[in-house]
Amino acid sequence: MTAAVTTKPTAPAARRSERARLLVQPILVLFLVVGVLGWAFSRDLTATQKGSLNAANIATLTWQHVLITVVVVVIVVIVAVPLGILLTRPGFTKLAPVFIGIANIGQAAPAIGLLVLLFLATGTTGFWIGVLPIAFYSLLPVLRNTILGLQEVNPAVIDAGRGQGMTAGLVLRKVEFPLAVPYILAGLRTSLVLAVGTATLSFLVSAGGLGILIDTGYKLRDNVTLVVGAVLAVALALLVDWCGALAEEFLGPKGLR
Amino acid sequence: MNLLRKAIAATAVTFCGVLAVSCGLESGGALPLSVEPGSIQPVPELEGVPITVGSKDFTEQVTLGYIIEFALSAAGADVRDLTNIQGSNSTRDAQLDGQIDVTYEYTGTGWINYLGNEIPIPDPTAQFEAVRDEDLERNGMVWVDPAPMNNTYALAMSRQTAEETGITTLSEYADLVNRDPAAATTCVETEFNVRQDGFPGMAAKYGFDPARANRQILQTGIIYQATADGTQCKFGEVFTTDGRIIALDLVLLEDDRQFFPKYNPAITMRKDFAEEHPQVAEVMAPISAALTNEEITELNRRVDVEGEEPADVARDWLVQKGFVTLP
Amino acid sequence: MTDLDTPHTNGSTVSGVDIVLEDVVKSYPGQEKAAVDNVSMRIPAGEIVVLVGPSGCGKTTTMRMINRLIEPTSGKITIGGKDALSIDPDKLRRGIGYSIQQAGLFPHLTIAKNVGTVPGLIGWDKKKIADRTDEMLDLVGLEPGLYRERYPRQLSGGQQQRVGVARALAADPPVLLMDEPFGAVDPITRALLQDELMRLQSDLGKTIVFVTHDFNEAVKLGDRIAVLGNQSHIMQYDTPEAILAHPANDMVAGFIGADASLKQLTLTRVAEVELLDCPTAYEDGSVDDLRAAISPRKIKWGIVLDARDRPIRWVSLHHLATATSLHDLGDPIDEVMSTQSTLQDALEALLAESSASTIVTGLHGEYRGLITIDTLVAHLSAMREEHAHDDEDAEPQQDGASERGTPS
Repeated sequence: MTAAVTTKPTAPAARRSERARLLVQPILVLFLVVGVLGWAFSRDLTATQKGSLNAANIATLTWQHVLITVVVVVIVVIVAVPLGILLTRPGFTKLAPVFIGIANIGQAAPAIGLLVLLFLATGTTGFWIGVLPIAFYSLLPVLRNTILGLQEVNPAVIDAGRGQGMTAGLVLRKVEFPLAVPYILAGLRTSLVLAVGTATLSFLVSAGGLGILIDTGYKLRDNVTLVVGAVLAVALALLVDWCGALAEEFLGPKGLR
Repeated sequence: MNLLRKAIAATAVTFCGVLAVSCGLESGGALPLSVEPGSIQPVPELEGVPITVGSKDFTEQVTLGYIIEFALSAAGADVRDLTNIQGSNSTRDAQLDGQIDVTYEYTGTGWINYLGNEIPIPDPTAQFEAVRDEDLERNGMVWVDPAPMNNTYALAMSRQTAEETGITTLSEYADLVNRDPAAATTCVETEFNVRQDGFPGMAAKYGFDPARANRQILQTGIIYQATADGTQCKFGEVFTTDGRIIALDLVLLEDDRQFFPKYNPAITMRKDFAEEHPQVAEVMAPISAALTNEEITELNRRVDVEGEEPADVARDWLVQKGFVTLP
Repeated sequence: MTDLDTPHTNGSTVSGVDIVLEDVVKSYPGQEKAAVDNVSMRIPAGEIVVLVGPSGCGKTTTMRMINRLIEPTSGKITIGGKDALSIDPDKLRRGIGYSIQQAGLFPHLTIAKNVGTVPGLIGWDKKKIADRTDEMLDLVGLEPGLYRERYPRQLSGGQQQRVGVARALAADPPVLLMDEPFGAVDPITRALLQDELMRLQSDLGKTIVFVTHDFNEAVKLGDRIAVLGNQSHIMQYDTPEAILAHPANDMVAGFIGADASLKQLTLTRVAEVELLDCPTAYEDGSVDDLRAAISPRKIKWGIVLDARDRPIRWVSLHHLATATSLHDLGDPIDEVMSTQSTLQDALEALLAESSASTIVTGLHGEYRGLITIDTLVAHLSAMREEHAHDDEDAEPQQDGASERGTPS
């Protein structure tokens, strides 16, 4: 699926409601986590369920999930942002559709397919086998938004910069990139949420994560485990989205708010 | 105007889709292949009787489902095909609801999943009889014609690992875990990982700490390949009749303490249907008797590894055994 | 000698340097005709030279080759005697002020940071940059305390342009390139900004290359105008008076428009034309003497002055016929013209008052003379005759001084 992933940064009017969300969202996350865990542990759990639903296991799986998400995001930023910058430099713009097309494949292809393909290609399982396909899957929003953000920079501003004697590199670093940051952050926020959701599949190649609870619950028709896994994954997604919103709010250049 | 037309088209398609799906679920499809009688001769009481056969959604079940269908078709019944029902318990529900009439169900599944018992019975015959009696009493379900094949959990290893470690039984595996966990990485999927009749129960029975064993969680299908590769998975959780065991030259460890439940497939029908058509059980009896682990594993291999269609493989086997003939 | 008050520079501060373009060509691959075809011109130091022409004639391309935002295909460009094409382009541009139509302020930086861009690039220390920023903001009429920490989006279009100019001047470059800088603001703001620029130039004396398609703007601002045609060919390169008086060809004439004569009137001040005399007397002066002075003249009017020579009343022979003293005699004077007004203002006053003549006063309001329609017409003919012999080459008049208003 190629969803409309060029998310524009939030306009000033929407900013106010964004600020309200910034306060409400973490509270909602807390509520969900406490709620679902409280509900689960207040029940009489069978031995099988206790195998999944114990503090150590949940903590481990959550940590694994967070780790996968963080590493995915780091990879996405390291790959997509420089690539996006390169593809907007004169001489390279013709290549942009090629790379966007590749990133599109990454997102259109089912994540589970990518995970298994990488396993078959490498013959190994583990953390990186579970992380790299997710990174490929989440690449598109950041890549597209980096390119878009740089294209949106007013050409007059770049002209003024060059005309005053800034080198091309300086213009990129001090003018173009800061102006593109709001777009990049918006794309990053989308990527983050995609990554958290798709990371529920990473367990299939032994990378761990909350997907284990979901799959166990589904296979055993154990709704308690299933719900705990799903709700925790949702809470993590909301938390990560909140972090993205914070970044958008506070990491963008002041002059543009 | 354009928008309106699109809306109408979308609604029509959705409606037809829903209709098709719901119709499919309720009445079943026609058989993909036709057969002529062999050793199974037409049974007058079954002539034209509508029978819907169902199965779960994995290879072995689908093949078994087709075996029932072709057998009953040769006997003259009007068979409808509802194999490959998605979801573990959907088949059971479909049978209780009357949407399917006949299916092969596993004794262990019936005992543990449907009847809620925690402790399986080691002896296959005893297990079958226990399930038969209790399910009939509680749910009005009839179990007949158990087969010798036993599709249960097992730990497997690659031929190379077998030669290196010299291990043949689960007891020896347990020793290895206790001695040197790092050399005993075991790959499991999520269900087996927590089920009482899975890894934790096995650990308890064989006397090792499940937490000590170096467990990796993988997707079910990937486990076979990873175990055959032998790098990250020295041992892997497999099903004893999976075709890939032959294809990847995997070696099964013997369950010397008889921990894993028995999962012998048997013909299950609702009581009223069974009483109305006792001939079904008669027709299926010799077929069940012929279903051994070797036979079914080879059938599974042809589908999963060779890529043949379950229906073709099922018919071939029935022809080979002489039960039916080709038209 | 009349008061030769050159409108643009006061002559003493010239911080600019001259720019010479020699056979400069710009052609793009795949295009038959060059965008800029062999342009040669000399832009004298300390002057505002305006490049005017229709859209697409190449005037902006020509200007952008001076700071090498566009690299010439061939030709030579020297700035202050140094070859511009052999210096590192980025370094070159730090020594040339650059102001464009959309201002191009960096939206994510404060006004102060914007203005301090080039000084920062050159490596001035923070204090020097801060002081200079305040100085520049002050210079363009924006109070530093108020505007320093604001962001561009908080400023109006006109204010942003002012900041653009301040930014261009911050590192005190000898040359300023301005590409239709006032094109995007409303006419009132534009007029104000033009006046500001002229005021700045009178203090600073930079060499300014100014591109516009508005001929009126060119006339108002330019010491010299280069009228450019297709492929940036120079059709006429001369002072505004010369071009208005004697357009080189039909295209230039067409560009000037139909009101060349009226435009010419804006270029001359009242101080530069010969004024008519009129009999005057002080209030305590003799009535008879005044009557005697007025009688032989065609216009039967005189003017009463106060103790400081300022005209206070008109008196006619009729008033004088029965008068005994000049006190409280005659009609009060409504409008006077100052010597600093342009001839266009004088024409406006004459038409508005429906009078044949207007009184001209000097810098302190003292009586200087009269100006009439005839004066204006005579002046225009004189201009036309003077420039009838001008050649069409690109070299400006050798001495560089304006040829306006030589008294006849």
